[in-house]
Amino acid sequence: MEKPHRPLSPHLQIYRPQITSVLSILHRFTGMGLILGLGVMAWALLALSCGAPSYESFRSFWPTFMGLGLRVILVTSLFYHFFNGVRHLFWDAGQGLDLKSVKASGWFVVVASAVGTILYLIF
Amino acid sequence: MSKKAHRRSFIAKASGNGLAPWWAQRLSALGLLLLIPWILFQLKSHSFDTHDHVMHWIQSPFNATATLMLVGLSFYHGYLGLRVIMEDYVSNHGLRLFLTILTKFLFIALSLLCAFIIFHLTLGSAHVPSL
Repeated sequence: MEKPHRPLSPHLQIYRPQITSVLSILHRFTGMGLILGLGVMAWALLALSCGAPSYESFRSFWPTFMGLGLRVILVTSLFYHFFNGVRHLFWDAGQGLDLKSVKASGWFVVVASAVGTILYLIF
Repeated sequence: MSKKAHRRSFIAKASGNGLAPWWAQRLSALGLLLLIPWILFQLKSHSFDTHDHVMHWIQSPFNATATLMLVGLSFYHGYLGLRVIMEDYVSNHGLRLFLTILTKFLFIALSLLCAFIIFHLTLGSAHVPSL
C-alpha cells in the first residue's frame, strides 16, 4: 500500500500554553502516571500472597526516599485525574462547554487537586 | 471526497470500534468515581501495618468484592486510556498494532493475577508458594 503523505499538525511546543491545553495534556500525563499505580496494586497483592516477610519488605519500601517520591507522584496524579475526569464526564453530558465555564472548572480542578493532594499526604 | 478518502472513511466505519471503547472508558470512570474515594479512605483509616491486619481486612466479603471491582475497572480504564494515547502518538501502523496488542495481553494478565490472588487470599487455605 502506498504510504500517505499527509501534513503534520504542529507539535505541542508551538502553541502558547493556555489553561485549557495545559490541563488537557496533564490529564494524559497523570493517566500515564497512574499506570504505575496499577503496578503498585499488583505488587501489594503479590507481596501479600507470598506471606508476612514479603509483605514486610513491601511496607518497608514506602518510608524510603524513592517510596516517598512515588507516593507523591501517585497521589498527585490520582487527585488531578479524578477531579479532571469528573470535568470530562460533565462535558460528555453536554454541560459546561462554553469557554467561561471551561476556564472556571479548570481552575477549580487545579485548586481542588492541589488542596486534596496536600491534605491527603499530610494527614 | 476523493475515491481514496472515501474508501478510508469506509474502512474506519466498517471496523466499528470507536463507540464501544468510548462508552467503556466513561462507564469504568463512573465506577472508579466511587471506588477511588473508597480505597483512599480505607488506606487512611486502616494502618495496614501487619500482614495479619491486611489479611483480616481483605477477608471481609465487602472489601474483597470492592477490591476486585477496583482491580477490574482500573486495569480496564488504564488499558483504554493507554490505547488512545498510542493511537494518537504512534504513527507507524505496524508498531501501533504491536504495542496495543502487547498492552492488551499484559493488562489482562496482570489483572487476572490480581483477581486470582484476591480469590486465593479469601477462599484458599494456604499461602501461595514463593514465585
